[in-house]
Amino acid sequence: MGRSRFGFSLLEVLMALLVITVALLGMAGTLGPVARLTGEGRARGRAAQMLASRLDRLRAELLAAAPACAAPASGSAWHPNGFYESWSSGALAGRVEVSIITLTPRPGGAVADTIRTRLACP
Amino acid sequence: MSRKGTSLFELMVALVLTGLLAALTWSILAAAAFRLRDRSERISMDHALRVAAGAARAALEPLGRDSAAGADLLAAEPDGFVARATRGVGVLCAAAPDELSARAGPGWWVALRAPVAGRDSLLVGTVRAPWHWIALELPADPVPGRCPDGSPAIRFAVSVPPAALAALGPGSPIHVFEDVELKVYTSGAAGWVGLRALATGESIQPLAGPFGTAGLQVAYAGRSGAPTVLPGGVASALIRLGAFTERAGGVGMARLDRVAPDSAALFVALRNLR
Repeated sequence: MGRSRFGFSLLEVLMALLVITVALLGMAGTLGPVARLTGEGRARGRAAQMLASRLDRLRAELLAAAPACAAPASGSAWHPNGFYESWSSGALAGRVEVSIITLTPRPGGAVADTIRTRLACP
Repeated sequence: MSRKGTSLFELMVALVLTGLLAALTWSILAAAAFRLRDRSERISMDHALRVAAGAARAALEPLGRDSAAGADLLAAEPDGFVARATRGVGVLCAAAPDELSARAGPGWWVALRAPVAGRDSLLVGTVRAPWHWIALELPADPVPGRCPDGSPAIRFAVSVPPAALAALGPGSPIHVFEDVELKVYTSGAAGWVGLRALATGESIQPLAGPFGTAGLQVAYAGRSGAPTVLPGGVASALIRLGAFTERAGGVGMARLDRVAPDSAALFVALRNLR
C-alpha cells in the first residue's frame, strides 16, 4: 500500500523561501524613494529659509540707505551643501522690486525657486 | 519502494541555499534599516533647527522701537534675547482715564490667549499727533463690556496719563504683550533652545534640541550694519544654530555609529523701525 503525502517537499519549501525573500527585498526597495523624497523636502525647506534671510538682508540694506530709496546691489553666493542664490533689485517710485533665485541641489540636477516682490522704502 | 524523505546531500544543498538567501536578505534589510534610522534622526534634527529658527524669527521680526514706549528688544545677549512678544491685538472703541475698551469679536480682537494681569502689559497707539505708542501696565484682568455704539467690547482697567489720553481714542491700535526670553540652556551634555515668560518667574521651557552648548549664537547689527549690543540700537540679527542628532548607537540593524551635526543660519531684520 502506498503512503499518502502529508507535508511539503523540500523543493516547495525552497520555492516558498525564495518568494518570501523577493517580497522582502521589494519592500526594502520602497524605502529608497521615501528617503529621497524626505531629503528633498529638507533641502527645499533650507532653500525657503535662505530666501527669507536674503529678503531680510535686502530690507536691512534699504534701512541703512534711508532716507534715500536706493536699490541694493545685485549679487550671488554659494552656500554649504551646494545651495546657490542670486539676487537683483531695481528702484521703482518709493519701492524697490527684488528678485531672488535659489538653486537646491538634488540628484539629477538642481531645482530653482524664484521669488519676486516689492519692498517699501523706509 | 516509495520515497520517504530527502537525502543528506539534498538537505545540505537546501541548507546552503537557505543560508545564502538569509545572508542576502539580512544585508539588504540591515542597510535599508540603517538608512531609514539615519534619515529619521536627520529629519528630527532638521525639525529642531526649523523650530528654533522659526521661533527666533517670529520673536524678532515684529520688533521695533518708539520714542515713547522704547525698544521692543529689551536685552541682546550673544546666546539669546529678551523681547516683547505680542499676545493679542485689537482696536479701541473708547478711551477714558481709568479704562480702555477694545472692540471684541471675530475680526476685531485676535489673541493667542486671554490677557493676564501682572503678566501682560499694553501698548496703545495714538490716533493724533504726536504719533507714538504708549506702554501701560495691566493691573487687573480685562472684563466683557460694551462700546459706545453697543457692540461687544473688552474693558481694560488701566491708568492712562492725562497727556497721553488726549492722543488716544476710537481707532487706536492696542497690543497685549509680555516679556519673553529665548536662549540656549544646558541640560545634561546638550544645549536646548528654550523660551520663558519673565513675569511668571517660570523656569525655561524646552523648545527644540538637542543643540550644542553654543548652539544658538546671535550677532546684532545697528541701522548702518555695524555690530551693536545696545538693545535700542538693534536693527537686524544674524542667528546661527548648531544641532546634532539625538540618538547615536541604536540597536540591531539600525545601529548608528556617531552623532551627526548640522547647522543653519538666518538673518532677521526688525520690521518696525522708522
